[in-house]
This record gives sequence, C-alpha cells and structure tokens, in this order.
Amino acid sequence: MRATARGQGPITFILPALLLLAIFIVYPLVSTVWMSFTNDSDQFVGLDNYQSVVEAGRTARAVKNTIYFVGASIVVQLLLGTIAGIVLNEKFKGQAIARSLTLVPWVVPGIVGAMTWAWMFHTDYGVINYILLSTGLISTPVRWLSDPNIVLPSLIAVNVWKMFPFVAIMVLAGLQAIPKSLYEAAQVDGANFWHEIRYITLPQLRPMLISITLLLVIAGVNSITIIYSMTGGGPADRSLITSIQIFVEAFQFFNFHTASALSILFFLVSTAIIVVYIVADNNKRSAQE
Amino acid sequence: MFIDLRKITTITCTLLASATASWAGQINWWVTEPGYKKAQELVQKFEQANPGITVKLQSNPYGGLEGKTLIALKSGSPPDLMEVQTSWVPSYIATGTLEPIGDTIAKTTPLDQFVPAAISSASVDGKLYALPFQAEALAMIYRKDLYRAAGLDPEKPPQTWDEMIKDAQALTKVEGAKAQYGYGIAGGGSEGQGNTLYRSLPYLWMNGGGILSDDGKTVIVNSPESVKAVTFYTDMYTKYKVSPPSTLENGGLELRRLFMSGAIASYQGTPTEIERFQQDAPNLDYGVAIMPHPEGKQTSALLGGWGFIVPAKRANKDDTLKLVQFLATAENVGYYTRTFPAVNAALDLPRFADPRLNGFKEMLKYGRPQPAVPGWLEITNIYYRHIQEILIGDSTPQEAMDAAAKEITAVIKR
Repeated sequence: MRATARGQGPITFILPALLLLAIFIVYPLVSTVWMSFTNDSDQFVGLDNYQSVVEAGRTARAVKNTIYFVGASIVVQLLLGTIAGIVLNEKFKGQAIARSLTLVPWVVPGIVGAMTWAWMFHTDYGVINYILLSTGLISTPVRWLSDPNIVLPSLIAVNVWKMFPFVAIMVLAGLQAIPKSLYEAAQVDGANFWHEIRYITLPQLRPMLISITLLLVIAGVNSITIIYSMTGGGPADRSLITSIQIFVEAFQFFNFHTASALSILFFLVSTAIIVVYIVADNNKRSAQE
Repeated sequence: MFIDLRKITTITCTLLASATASWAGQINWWVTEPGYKKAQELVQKFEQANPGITVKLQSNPYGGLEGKTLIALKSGSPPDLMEVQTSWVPSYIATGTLEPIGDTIAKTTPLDQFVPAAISSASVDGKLYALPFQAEALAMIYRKDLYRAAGLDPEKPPQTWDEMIKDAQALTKVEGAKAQYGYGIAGGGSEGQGNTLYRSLPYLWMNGGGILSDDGKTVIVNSPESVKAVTFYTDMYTKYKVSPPSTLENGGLELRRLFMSGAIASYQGTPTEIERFQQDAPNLDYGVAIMPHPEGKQTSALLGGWGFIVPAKRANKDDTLKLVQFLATAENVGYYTRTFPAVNAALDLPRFADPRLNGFKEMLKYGRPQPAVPGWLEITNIYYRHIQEILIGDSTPQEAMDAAAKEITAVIKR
C-alpha cells in the first residue's frame, strides 16, 4: 500500500499544474503552429503563409527596427541603471527619497507615460520644442516623432526612461548582497574607488546583470505599448517593430494565419538569440574557472 | 507573444454566453459608451409602451469594438441588437449571421427618407442589414478672425482648389517661435489611419479618382486623377508648406487643438467639433464651409456613421424587431445620434438648427460610403503608409501610389 501511494502521489500532486500548463501554454503553442500552416478554411497550405510574410517589404524593415530599438535600449538601460544603482547604494542625505523617486517612471502605467511623452514631443505644441525654441537652442522645430531619422532614438529615450529604474533597483539589490569583507580586504591592499568597482563590484554583479539583460531583451521585443500609442509604427513604418506588426496583422486585419506564421518566426529568432547568449556566457564562465 | 484566435474566442464566448444569456421577453442591447445615457431614456419609453418586454443595456467602449462585435457574431450567442459603424456592416454581412431588417424599418420610416449613402453602405443585393441612425461628413472649418487679419473676406471661404491654396498661403505666417499656418492636413496621430483617410480620400473622389473602382475589383489609386489629387493634398505640406511642421503627428484631435490655439487657420472637422468649441473655446470666431473642389467639378465627402444590427436566429427576434421599429422614428433617430441623423426629416429638430451646421448639412448631400470590400482596413493601411512616405519626402506621389497599387492588388487577389 505504501509503495503505491508513494508511486502515484507525486503525479497526483503535479497534475493540476501540468494541466494548467497544457491548457495555457502547450495548446496555444501547438494551435499557433497549426494555424501558421493553414488558411481561413482550415486547409493545409504548407509554407504559403511564411512565404507571404517573408516577402512582405515591411517584415524586413520591422526586424531591422526591432534589433535597433532593443539593442540600443538595452545598452543605455544597463549603463544608466548600473550607474544609478551604484549611486543609490552610497550613503547620502535624502537617500531614501532619491531611491523612491527613481522608481516613479517604472511605476507609472506604460500608456500614461507614453501619451504624456507624445504630447511633450509634439512638434508644434510640445513642451520640449517650446523650451528649445524659446532658449534659442534650435531655430526650427524638431520633428521628434515624425522625422524618419529621429523617431526611433526618441522612442528609445522613452523606453530607457521607463525601464532604467528597474535595472537600478535590481543592481541595488545585487550590491547589497556583496560581502563588505571583500571591500575591506581590497582597501587593506590599497585599492581606490575605481579599483573596487572594476575588480569587485562589476564581477560580483555579473550573474545579476546577465539575468537583467535577458529580462530586458524579452521586455524590449514585446514593448508594444510605448511605440503603438506614440507613433503606431509610423511615419510610414519607420518605427514599426515586429511585435506591433503581429498585433496589427492579427487584430486589425484579422489575418490570423499570416500573423501566426510571423509569431512562429519571431519566436524561433528570439529563442535562438537567447540560447546563443546563454551558451556564450557559460563558455566564458567555464573558461575563466 | 502568441496569438491564438481559438483560445480567445473560447474564452470570449464563455464570457458572452454568461453576459447575454437571455430568455423570451428580454432584449440584450449593446450600445457604445457615449450613447448609454440616451439609450437608457429610450429603453424607459419603449418598456412603458411594451409591457412584458425588458431591455438590458450593455455599454461598450469604442476601442476594439469592431473585432468584439465580429467575435460575438461568430460565437453563435450574440446580443439581440448591436450598435456599430455603418462601414463595418459589409464585413458582418459576409459572415451570414445578420437579419435583414429593411422591411421592419420601412414600417416606421420609408427607406427613401434616409440618407441614401447610409442605406447603400449597409445593403447587399437589395437587402438592408442595419438601421442607420447617424450620418456625418466632414466640412472645412475656418477662423474668421484670422481671415480678416490676413485681408481675406471671412464670408467668402475658398470654393476651388486654386483658391484654397492661395488663401492658405495668405494665412501662413512663420516668424520665429510663433507661427501660423493656413491649412492643417491630417498625416498621422493616434487615430492617424482613419483620420487621414476621411480627410484625403474625398479629394481623390472629387477629381474622379479613388482607391478602388466602384465594383471594388480594380485598383485606381495610381490613376492620373488619383495621383493629381494626392499631389494636391500632400503639396500643402511638402511644397507650399501651408500645413504645420507637425503634420505627420496630426489627426482630428491634434488639428482641433492647433485650430483653437490659432496655429492653423482652417482644417477639415466633424460636426462634433462644434460642441467641443462651445465647451473649450466659447468665443472662437469661426465659420463652416464646404470642402473646396477642383474647378468645374463637384465636392465630395466620405460618409461616416453608425447604425444598429440584429443577429439572425435569436429566440426573441420578434421583440427585438419591435424595438427596431420603435428606434426607427425620425424623432428617436434624431434624439440618439451624436452628430447628424441618418433620417432627413429629423434634421428639422431644434437641436440641428444652429446655422453653423449648414456647411455640414450641405456636405452630407455629397457623402459617399467606403467601398464594401473584404480587407478594406488593410487596404487603407497601405494607402495611409504611402501617403506618409510622400509626406516624409522619401517618394514622389506617383512612386508612392504605384507602390501602394501593387500592394493593394495583392490584397484584393487573395
């Protein structure tokens, strides 16, 4: 009797979780794959959907924009977030207030932040151009959200503003987990502030920064809210990223089958990037040891 | 990240089933948020006149309504009466789930008393599938004070394209940070696609062009007539610079803000703007005129509007049709509409007496519905993106419209 109970017990206990997993992850995944190979009347059409997705001119542009947007965002977010985290870890007057204020952009709902920025960026009545024009820094208004060369940097700035507090807080948590004895030992050896950062802080933060980077990649490729509400991907697709393309294809044009093909491709590419990143990191780490 | 229609549909169906579970004697009526209060009063009157029938109202936000309605229709247990844009109706008719209600409406108000374009946009093969209650067309709104300041006669707004450009140039004054532009065209913004379509497509029509031929089978967006109209529209920004630098960020909402602050002297607006001016800028000195047209041709407008649809195969269809008959009176149509009534007789009601509405009434006569073709939203998206290509200066109108024609043809052939 005991043996039977022990044999079936674990399965019984994880069954509900497995069932939920199957319903909400495995089934949608499988059915998305199936939809990507069929047409509106549920007939198998092979790679037709994939072909039309790859041939569409906007797909290539969206991929290019996604890489630019996510790559640039992450570099600046990590840089700014790490600096902010290190500063906030120092003891100074008003430290608690500074820490809470840093979090504000992250706590503000995405759509509210995005709409506010869109108004501030507006070429004719936006406050940013107003300040720049009235102080004489520029002589003609800058088209922050409609100049093809400026729109992505503007959106990246908003994305950085939104997510760097998250990096800062994670870095802060990481910093507090570094044993003080390491710094004391370094100081005995005559290390200055920069030596401490270079040889203790950053190496100790490494695992934390790697997880943050992964989270930022995932948040970045899915950051529909900011771009969709500020420019809708425009002007003329100059700020279109793949996740928005999928959304529009499915929920505005009701082309669910091509949208599925696009999401599958998107999924494969993102997975490949993340796997490469993790493997490279593991190799580097084992090489160091 | 993964989009799965079936999952969404299943969940939505379950929710819908619970929300609209109904029995004989109860009508489930979906209205939009802005119409909820007025619908409540109509329901009260209807229930008093028809004891034994109760009406349950559900208020829906505008956002995503088109898809929500489609899913409800396909789910098999939709509500009994739904408020939708007339331009969406053709795609709903295509699902085969709508009840033709032309005969029912005619018992109350003969169909020839409705705005003709509103009827035709909701009909297939001579059968009418919606009760249009609201119909509107854009007109040109202009600042009389700025006209006077520029030495123009505020009682003589431009009639032709040439006059329009000339006036707009006279009204454009750029000096440092304070700038005034003659005419604001739409080229972007949060609702940029629809806003740009409503404001630019009529120019193509006036000139004998368009996006698709009348039968919806040929793409004419790159015909000489169409390209000339697109050139006229985009030149206001790229060549004459009478439209402000923010043009690619401006839709209806942004243009209204710029107009109220005096940054633009004229633009195309909807009848609802009048209410907004009364609220936000009661002293604004403005006039409403018809849209200027090419010399020797007629003006044109893209008809917008709303109507009610009735899904077929519902248990309490008879009760619902009674409600449709009740709503179809000129009085109730005139009461419920948020802009203009789709029934001509209702225009005599006191709420439409403001003389400034005359420009809009006049434009209504030239209103044309959007073509009833599948994939229309995707087609207009292609058109919109290529208009933006011209505005950012990366293509000439001819190049952009040729490219658009190629993409639109691919959508039609699918």
